[in-house]
Amino acid sequence: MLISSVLSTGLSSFSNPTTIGPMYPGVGVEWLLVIIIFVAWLGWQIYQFRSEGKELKRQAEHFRKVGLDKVMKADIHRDTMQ
Amino acid sequence: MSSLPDALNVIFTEAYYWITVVMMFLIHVGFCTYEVGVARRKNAMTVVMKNTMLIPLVTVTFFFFGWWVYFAFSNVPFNGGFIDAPFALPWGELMGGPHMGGGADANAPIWARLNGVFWAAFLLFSWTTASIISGAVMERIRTGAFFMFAVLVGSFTWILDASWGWNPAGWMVQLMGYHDAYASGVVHAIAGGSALGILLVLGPRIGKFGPKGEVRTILPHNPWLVTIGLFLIFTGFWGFYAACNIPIFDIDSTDGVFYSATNIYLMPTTLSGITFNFILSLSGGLMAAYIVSKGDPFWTYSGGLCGIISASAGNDLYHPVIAFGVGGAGAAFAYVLHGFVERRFKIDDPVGAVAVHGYGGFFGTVVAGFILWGYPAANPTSEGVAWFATAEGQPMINPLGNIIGAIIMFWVLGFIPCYALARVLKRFNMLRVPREVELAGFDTAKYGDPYPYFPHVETEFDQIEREHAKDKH
Repeated sequence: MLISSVLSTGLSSFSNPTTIGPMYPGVGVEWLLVIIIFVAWLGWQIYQFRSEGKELKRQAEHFRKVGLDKVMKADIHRDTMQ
Repeated sequence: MSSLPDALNVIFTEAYYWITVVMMFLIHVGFCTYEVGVARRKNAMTVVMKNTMLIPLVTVTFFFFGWWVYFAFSNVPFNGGFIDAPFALPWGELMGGPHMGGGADANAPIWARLNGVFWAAFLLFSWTTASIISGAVMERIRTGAFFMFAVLVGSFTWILDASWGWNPAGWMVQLMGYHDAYASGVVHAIAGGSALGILLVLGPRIGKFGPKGEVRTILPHNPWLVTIGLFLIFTGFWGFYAACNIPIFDIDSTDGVFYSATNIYLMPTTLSGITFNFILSLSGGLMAAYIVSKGDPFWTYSGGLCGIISASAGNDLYHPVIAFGVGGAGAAFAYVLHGFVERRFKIDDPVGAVAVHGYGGFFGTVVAGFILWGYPAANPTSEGVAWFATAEGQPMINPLGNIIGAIIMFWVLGFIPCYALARVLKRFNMLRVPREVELAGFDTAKYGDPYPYFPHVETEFDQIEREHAKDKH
């Protein structure tokens, strides 16, 4: 039922436009679409924040190991610091 | 729509807002260009990505709750309760894309055509508020922390203030007679106040202030790109002004019919009039900033922007010469205050966002209350609630309403929420990048040099930073 709602427009004719309301697929299950994208957004924020935290920690350790002064002198070859 | 005049009105309005959205995209292009130009070479790509990714994040959250907040909160907490706004709920049919207007909802024929374009126009304002903050906090904030501020301001606090003070039914308009036609306070003061709240907790970039508190100059990596960015913002600002109007509306409150453009409060203005005022306030800002900054390109361009922002609260009704004067005064005020705050409180705002948007917006909101004292602010939604009313019973624009309004925008909804969130993030060490990464550069390990074919010339500030790099703390 859910799948058929999402995958079907529910419309097979445009001949009487005054009676036509929503034209998108998924009428009646908008709540489900909203939940899916809400979870996707929240997951993205959490993933981004965690992965950035790990990456910053890794970079800071790397710069300490290589020597910060050396990294800053190596301005023209910054790509070698990756 | 079965009548041609109705169809022309609605579909013209739909097309009008659609075009404003396209124009307002240029504001964001301008902010990206401007900000990347101000950034140092070692941070350029991170700055671009930070400013780019706020677009989808503010967009999805504005879809989830921002648009609903605008309609639902206009009477909260002082003029009633929540207002039902089914067309703004994310699961509502009228938020669902293509819709022909049929169905049980009597407003469906109009909202089916206008909901998406209205939503997008407000969304572009949301991007702007978030992007204003982006420049102020660059080169030391964690990107993920910035995204949280972007969502907080872009999808909640600014649209809450718009619901209160930028909506004909908003309680600030109905009770206080608050007037802010082109968002000096509603968009700019709140963004500037938010940025200041974050900056106080975030602190300056390493080396910005010397051991005796002297202010050091950190050169932009590309000064002319900064000016192009500001030019693009000027251009996009036209779309912003247009989007703040209703293009066709019957303004005759008697039985007659008289169509006009209106401001956001459904009070009459003309596109012709605001065109005068937009350009004159830009000119006033440019001329004043050129003088006070002694021809500094960065501050001259920023002064032009600040001129528009300062006059925006009243540019629906000002004489062009008044717009010119207010724009010039606002730009000079913001420039002088920026210098004072930077020296006195050691606030490091690389793009002058707090000054241009915050001080300029606050100034413009307050000034409009005096200059437009006595004009009707909006039609009353209920009798006798306005603190000051016109002879016909409409809430009246007045200095007190706009002074309190400016304080609400800058301090209550701008500064306080962002200061609080910044304190929480700092408490958990989530606000600022590690010292090593800040000194080495955000791009150094992640993106590499954005100009691989051009040698780097060491500046005086690079040497200062290298001295800091030797410190072990």
